[in-house]
Amino acid sequence: MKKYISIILTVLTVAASSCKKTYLDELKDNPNTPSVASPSLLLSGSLKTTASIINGGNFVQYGGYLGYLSRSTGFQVFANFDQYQITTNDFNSFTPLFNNAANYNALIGANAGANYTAIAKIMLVYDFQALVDNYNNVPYSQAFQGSKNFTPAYDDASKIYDDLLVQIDAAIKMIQGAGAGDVNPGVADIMFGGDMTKWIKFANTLKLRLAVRQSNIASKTASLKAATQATQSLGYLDASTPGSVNPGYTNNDANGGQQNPLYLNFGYTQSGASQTNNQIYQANTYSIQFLQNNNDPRLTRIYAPNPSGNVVGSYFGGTVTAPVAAQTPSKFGPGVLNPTARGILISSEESLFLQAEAVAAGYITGDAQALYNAGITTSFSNLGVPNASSAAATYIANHAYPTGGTFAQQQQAIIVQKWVALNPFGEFEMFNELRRTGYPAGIPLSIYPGVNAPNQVTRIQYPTIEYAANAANVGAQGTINIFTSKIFWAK
Amino acid sequence: MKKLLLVSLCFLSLFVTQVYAQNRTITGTVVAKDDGLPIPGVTVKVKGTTIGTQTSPSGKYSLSVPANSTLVVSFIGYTAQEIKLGAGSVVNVTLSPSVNQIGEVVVTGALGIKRQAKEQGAAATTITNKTLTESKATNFTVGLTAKVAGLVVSTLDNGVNPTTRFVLRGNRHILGNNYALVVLNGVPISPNEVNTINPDDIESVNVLNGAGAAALYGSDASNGALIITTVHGSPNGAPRVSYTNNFLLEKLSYLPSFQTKFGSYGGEGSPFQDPITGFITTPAGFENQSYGPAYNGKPTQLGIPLEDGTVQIYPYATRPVDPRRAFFVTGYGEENNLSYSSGDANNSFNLSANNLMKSGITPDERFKRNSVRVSAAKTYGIFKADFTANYVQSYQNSVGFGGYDGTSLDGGRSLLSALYNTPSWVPLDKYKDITKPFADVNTFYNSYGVNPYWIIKNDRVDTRVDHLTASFGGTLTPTKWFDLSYRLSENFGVGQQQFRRSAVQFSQYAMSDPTGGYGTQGQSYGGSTGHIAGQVQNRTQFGDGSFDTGIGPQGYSRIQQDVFATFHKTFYNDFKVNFLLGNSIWQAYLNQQQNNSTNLLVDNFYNIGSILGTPATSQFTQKIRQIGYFGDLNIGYKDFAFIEATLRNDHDSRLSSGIRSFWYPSVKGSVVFTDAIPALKNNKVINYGKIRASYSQVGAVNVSPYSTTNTYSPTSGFPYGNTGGLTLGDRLNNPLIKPELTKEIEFGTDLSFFNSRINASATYYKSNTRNQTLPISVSPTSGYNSATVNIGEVQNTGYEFKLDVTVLTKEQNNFYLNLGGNFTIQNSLVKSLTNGLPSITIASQGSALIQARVGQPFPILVGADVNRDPQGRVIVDATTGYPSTNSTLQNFGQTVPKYLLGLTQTLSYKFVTLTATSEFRTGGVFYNASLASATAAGISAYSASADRQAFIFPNSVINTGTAANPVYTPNTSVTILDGNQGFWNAGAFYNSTAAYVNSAAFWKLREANLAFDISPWARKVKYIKKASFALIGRNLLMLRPKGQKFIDPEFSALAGNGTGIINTYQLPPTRLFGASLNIQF
Repeated sequence: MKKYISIILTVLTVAASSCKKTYLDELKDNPNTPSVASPSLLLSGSLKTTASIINGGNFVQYGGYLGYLSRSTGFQVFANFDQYQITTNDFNSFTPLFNNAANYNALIGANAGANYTAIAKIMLVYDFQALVDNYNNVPYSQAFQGSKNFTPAYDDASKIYDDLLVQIDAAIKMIQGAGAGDVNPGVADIMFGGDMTKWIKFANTLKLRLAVRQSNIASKTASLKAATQATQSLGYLDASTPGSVNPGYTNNDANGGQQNPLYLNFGYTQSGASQTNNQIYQANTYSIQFLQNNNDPRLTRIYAPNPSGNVVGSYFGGTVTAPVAAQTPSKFGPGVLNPTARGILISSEESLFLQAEAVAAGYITGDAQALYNAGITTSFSNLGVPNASSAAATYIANHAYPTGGTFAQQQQAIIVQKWVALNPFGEFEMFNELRRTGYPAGIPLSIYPGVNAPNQVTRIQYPTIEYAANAANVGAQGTINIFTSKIFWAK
Repeated sequence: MKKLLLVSLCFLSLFVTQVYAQNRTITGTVVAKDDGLPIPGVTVKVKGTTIGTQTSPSGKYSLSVPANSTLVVSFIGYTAQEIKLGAGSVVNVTLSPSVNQIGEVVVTGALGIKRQAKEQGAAATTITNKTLTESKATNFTVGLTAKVAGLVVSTLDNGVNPTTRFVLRGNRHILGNNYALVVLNGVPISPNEVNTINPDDIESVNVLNGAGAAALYGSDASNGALIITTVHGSPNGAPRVSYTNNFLLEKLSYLPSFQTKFGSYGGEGSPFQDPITGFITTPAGFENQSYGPAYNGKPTQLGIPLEDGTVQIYPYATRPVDPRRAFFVTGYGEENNLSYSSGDANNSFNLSANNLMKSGITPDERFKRNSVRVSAAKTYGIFKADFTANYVQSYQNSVGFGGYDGTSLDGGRSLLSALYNTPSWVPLDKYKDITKPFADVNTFYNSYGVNPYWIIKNDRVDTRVDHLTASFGGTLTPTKWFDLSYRLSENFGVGQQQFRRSAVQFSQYAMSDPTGGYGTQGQSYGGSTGHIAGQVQNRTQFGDGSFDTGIGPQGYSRIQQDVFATFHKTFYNDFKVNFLLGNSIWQAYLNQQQNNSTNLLVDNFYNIGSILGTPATSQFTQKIRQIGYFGDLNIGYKDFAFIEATLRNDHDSRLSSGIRSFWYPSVKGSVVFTDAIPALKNNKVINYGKIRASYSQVGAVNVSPYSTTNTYSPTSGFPYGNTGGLTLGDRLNNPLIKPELTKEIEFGTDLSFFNSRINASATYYKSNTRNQTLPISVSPTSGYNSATVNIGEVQNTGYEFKLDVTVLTKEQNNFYLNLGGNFTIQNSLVKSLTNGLPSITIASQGSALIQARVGQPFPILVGADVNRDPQGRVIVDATTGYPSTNSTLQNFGQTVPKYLLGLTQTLSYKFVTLTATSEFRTGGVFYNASLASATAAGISAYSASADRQAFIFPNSVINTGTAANPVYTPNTSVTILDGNQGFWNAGAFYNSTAAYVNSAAFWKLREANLAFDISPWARKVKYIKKASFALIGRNLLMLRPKGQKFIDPEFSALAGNGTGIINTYQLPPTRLFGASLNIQF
C-alpha cells in the first residue's frame, strides 16, 4: 500500500509543480494592444484625432444651421435633422472631445519635457474651448480622475474660459523657457513638425479667439484686451502658417480611412464611391444664391456643378426638387474635397478674419483692412480659384472693407466674409461666430412642412451618456432648450 | 442502443469466474424479447455456485454444469431468469427488459465518472442516441430540443448550418457566457463545436441541469453541463457495420404576411403626388417602397427606360405568384453515415465516417461536412488505455451581407432586406440573369436597392473549417480500492473565411440620373468613375473553428490534462466510500489573422496581394490558463442514502496575481426512500422513490484575458507611412476583478409507479449569481467611456417537472403507447446592478434595447412607446389624430420564455412506430425588426392594416382637459391625417418600439417520425442483421399567436445574451421532411 501511496503522491506533486507561478503570470501582458505609449506616438495620434473631430460628421448639423448644406432630397431618412428634432443621441461631440482631451491630459502627465507638455496644454485648451462652445458648462476641474471620480461636477463655462487663458499663457512661457534637455517632438508633431515658434503663434491665436469670443461680456473686455495686447508681439497664424495637421493623408481606405478628415466625411472612398454624408447631404440654396449674387468665383470650387454644369441645391428642410436632370443637386466641390489636403484646426482665413475683428475692436493693434483683404485672398487661393490673386482683387473691389464705417458695419463685413471663407472648413467655428455676432443675418430656418422654429438653434443637448452616467451633475444644468438656452458668450 | 449502453456497463461491473468442471455441457442462445436479437455478455451462472460464463458476441453460451442445477441468466436492464435444468442440453433463453431500472441506470457525470442514477443528488436527464437522432438533425443540440426539462435550445437562424443557443435554467450571467458547458468524453469543449459532432457518434448525452452536478468543473460549471459520451465500440460484440442514409427536403413554411394591394411609391413629389390634394396619382416605378396607389391591373411602366428608350411594362397588380416567395427554393440535405465496431473483453474499437451535403432555401447556398471518428480501448492487466479522435472538415458557401449599396464590405443590408424592398408587382423572376437589361446594375428598376440575384451571385462568403478533437486516457487499477486516471485532450479547429464582393461598373447612362433628380444607384455609389472596385476579406482563426473572439469559452482551442486518483472502499459493510483527488490544467488559445481590401486591382480576382492602396490587417491573440485542484467524497449508506461533497480550487490567469485563487464547495445528498423504508419495499404502487438536495458554489471568470491593465491602441488612420499614432484605451480596466459567483440550492424527487409504468420527477432550484462582471458606461469626463466593475446580482428560480407514462405495453396490449412530457417554469430577477445604475443595455436595434434592469427579469425588452392615458389607451392629437412619442423607455417584458412544455408521444404496433415531439413556449416577447423593415418598405400586411386610409387610431383617447389636468375622452371622430406613408413610415407610432413588439409564444411540432422496423424481411438477405426505415419531419407545424404571422420567434439576431431581437438576417421559418434508412450488418 505504501508503494501506491507514494505513486499517487508523486503524480500529484509532479502535476502541481508543473504549475509554477510563472505559468499563469506570463499571460499578464496583452499581446494585442500595447500597454505603454511613447509621448511621440501619443502626440501624433491625439493631433490627428482632434482634426478628425473638428472636420468630422458630428459637426455636420452646424453646416445645416449655417446655410452651407441641406439634407439630400429623395432621401426619406433622418427628417429629424430638418425638424430640429436632434436628440441627446445625435451628433455627440462631447464624448470624442473628452476622450481626445484625456489623451492630452495623459501626455501632460507623462512629463516628457517642456515642449511636449506645452503642446499638450495648448491642445487641451483647444479641446475645452470646443467643449464649452458646444455645451457651455462642462466638467473641468474634476475631469479625468478615472475611478476616483466617475461623476465629476460641472464647472461654470465662464470660469473655464478664464482658466484656459491662464493655461495658454503658462504654455507659451513653458515653450519660451524650454532648454536643450527638453526633447523636441520633431516629426511626431504633425502640426508644425516641431517648430515651437509656430506653436507659440498657434497658442497666441487661440488666446485671441478665447478673448474675442467673450466680446459680448463687457465686464471682461478691459482685462481681455490687456491680456491679448501683452502677447501680440508673438504673432498669429497667417496665410503661410495655418493651424493644420498632416500625418500623411492619402486616398486610402485602410485603417479606418487615411484621407483628409473633411474628405473622409463628405467625399468618396478610395474607389470613388460616395461616403455616407456625401449621400445624405447636398448643397444649400442659400449659400449658392449668396455666392451667385456676389459673382463669387468660389461657387464652383465649394460646390461641384452637376452633370448639366449647374450648381443646384435645396433649402434647409426642403424635400422636393424638380425632376429634371438639369436640377440634379450638387455636393461639395473640388476646392473642398481633397483627400490629401491638410486637416484644419484653425485655418489661415479664420486667423486673419479673427485678427481683423480684433484690430477693429481694439484687442490688438494693426491694419484691419489689410487683414480682411488677406483673409479673402487666402480663401481664393486655398480653394484653388484660377488666377486667385487677381480674382480676389476683383472681388475685394466689389466687397471692400468699410474702413470708415462703424464697428458694427466692420464686424458684419468681416463675419460675413468669414462665413464664405469657412464653408465648410470651419462649420463649428462659424456657428460660434453666428451665435456670438448674429451674422450673417437672414440665414433661412428649416422650411420642412410643419416646422416652426422661433430662431436659429442656440445650443445643443448634452449627450445621453451624461444623463445615464452623471445624471445628478448634468441634471443640475437644468433643461436645455435648443432655441433659448445659450452659451455664456452668446449674443 | 440502450442495450449497447448496458453492454458496456456489464463490462465494468461484473466479475465472473469461468470454471471448468466435469458434468454435462449446456449450450444455448440468449435473445432479447423486445427485438429478438441475441444479447452478448449475458451472465449465465449455476445458482449457488461460482460456475458461470458470459454469452458470446452472437449471444451463445456453453457451460459445463453439475446435475440438477438451476441456471441464473442475468443481464443488466433485463429481468433475471432462473431455469431449472431438465434433460435437454440446449437451453435457449428469452430475457425481458427489466422495469425496475430507473435508479440503476448508469449515467456519466463530471470527469467521465459513471454512477448509478440513484446516487445523483441533483437533477439530470440522460438522452440516448435513439432519442437524440430521431429527426436526423445534423446538430445534436437540435435533437435535444423539447426533450429535457430546464434546457432551452433555440435555433438562431435557418441557414444551411444553423447555430443554436442552449441554456440551462435561464440566463444567470448578464454579460458573461450562459451556454451550458459541453463536455465531450470528459473534456470541456466550446459551445461552437457542437456542430462538429456527428450525432450518430453520440452514445448518450447526460444533461446536468444545475451547477451542483457539474461543480467538479469549477469555474466552467456555473451553467450546468451536457456530458456527451461517444460510442466506444462494443466490448463484447461481434464486428458490426451500420449504414445510415438520410435525405431531407427543406421548404419555406411561412412567408411573412405581406400586403398585396398597393404598389410602388415612396413619398416623391410631383408628378407622382398631386401637390394640392396630396393624393398619389402615379406609382413611382423606380421606387423600393410600396406606399403607392392601389393596384388597378393596368399596364404600367416599371423602372427607368433603357438608354435606347425601351421601357418595361407590367400589369400594375400583384404577380400571380408572390415574387418574394418565388425567390426561395427547396433545400435538400443528404447524409451518409457508415460505422464499424468490434471488440472483445479487453479491446474495443469503433470507426465511423459521416458525409453531409446540404443546400438551403436561398438559391446557391451550400454546406458540406465530412467527419471521421476513431475510438479504441484496450486493457492490459491493471492498465486500461483508451483513445478517441474526431476529424471534421466542413465547407460552406453562402451569401454575404449586403450588395454594393454601402461603403463598407458589409453593405449593411441583408438579402432579405433586398426582398422586402420589392413591391409585389415586380417580376423578380425575370431578373435572374443579372447581365440582361432591366436586371443589370444600370437599369434595375429599384433606385434605392440592389437586385437580390446580384447579391446571390456577387456577394459570397466561403467558410472552411477543419476541426480535430482527440483525447487519450489511461487508468491504472493496481488494487481493488484504488485507481489512478490520466487524461490528455486537445480540441482545436482552424476556420478560414473569405468574403468576396465583385466589382461594379456603372454606365454613364446610369450615372446621368435617368430618374431626373430622384437619384439612381449609379449616381449614389458610382462616384466619379462609375467603378466600384471588388472587395475581399480573409479571416483565419486558430481556435474552435469559429470566428468568435469573445470572453470565452467560445472561439478558443483547448488543451487539458487531468490527473485523478480514486479510492473506493466499503467500511463496516454498509458504508461505501468513494474519494477522489485530482488536478486539472488547461490552456485555451485563439489566434485570428485578418486582412481586407475594398480596392481590388483586377475585377473578380480576389487576392489580397493584388490590390490598390494598403490592405487593412489585424491580429488578435488570446490565451487563458487555469490550474484546478479538486476533491470529491462520496459516501453511500446501505445503497439507499448517498452524500457527496466536492471542493475545487482554481487559479486563473485572467485574474490579477495574488487574487486569482478561488474555492468552490458543493454538497449533495439523496435518499432512495423506497429502499430505506422496509414498508415500502416491493410496494405494488410505488416501486422507486428518491428525494435529493444539493447546494453548490461555482465561480465563473467573465472577463477577457488581459482585462486587468489599460492599454493603448493605434489611432484610426495610422500608420501613415512611418508616422505612427496611439490613443488611450477608453476602457478603464480593473485589476481587482473577481469571478462571478453562483450559489445554487436545489431540491427534487424522482418517483416510479406501477413497475415503472409511470416515472415522474420534480425539481425546484434557486440560484444567485453575484459579482456580475460588467463594463459599465461611465461619463467620458472621467477620462474613460467604460469601466469594468464587479457588482450586480441575478437570481434565477424555477421548477422542472418530468412525467413519462407507458400507457400500453406491447406484451399486454400489442400496442405500445408512451406519453412523455416535461414542463419548466423559469423565473429570473435582476436583484442589483452597480451603484445607482438602474439598467444595463446589452443589445439594441433601432429604438429597441435588450436590458438588465433592477427588479425585472433578465433579459427584458425596453423601448419607446406612444403616450397613453392611465388606462393604457393611446392619446392622439385632437386635430391630426396622431399619437405622440413617450420618450420614457417602457418595459415590454422578458425576451426569454417563462413557461416551456415539451411533449413526446410514441405509439408502436408490430413493426411500426410513430413518435412525435412538440413544444410550447410562452411568457416572452421579441422585437420584430424584420417587421419594422418590411413596414418601412410598405410591404408588410401590417402597413396596410387600415387599408392606407385615414383611420381612427383604435381605442384612442383625446385630452379634452388641460395639460395639467388631463381629461381623456374616447376618440370617435378624429382620424389620422395621413393614413399612408405619413403614418406607417413616419411619426411617433412608426418610430416607436411598441409597434413591433410581438409575443414570442409558439407551439411547434418539432419532430415527427414514422419508423418501420424492416429487420424481419431484411434478414432474409444474408449478412443483414437489422434494418429500419423512417419518414421524418421537423417543424412541420407551427402555431403562433394572432398578430404574429411574420417570423419564427425562436430566432435571434444575436447568439449572445441579448436575445429578443429578430431582424432581416434571419430567413423565414422552414419545414423539413424526408426519409432515413438504416441497415446493420
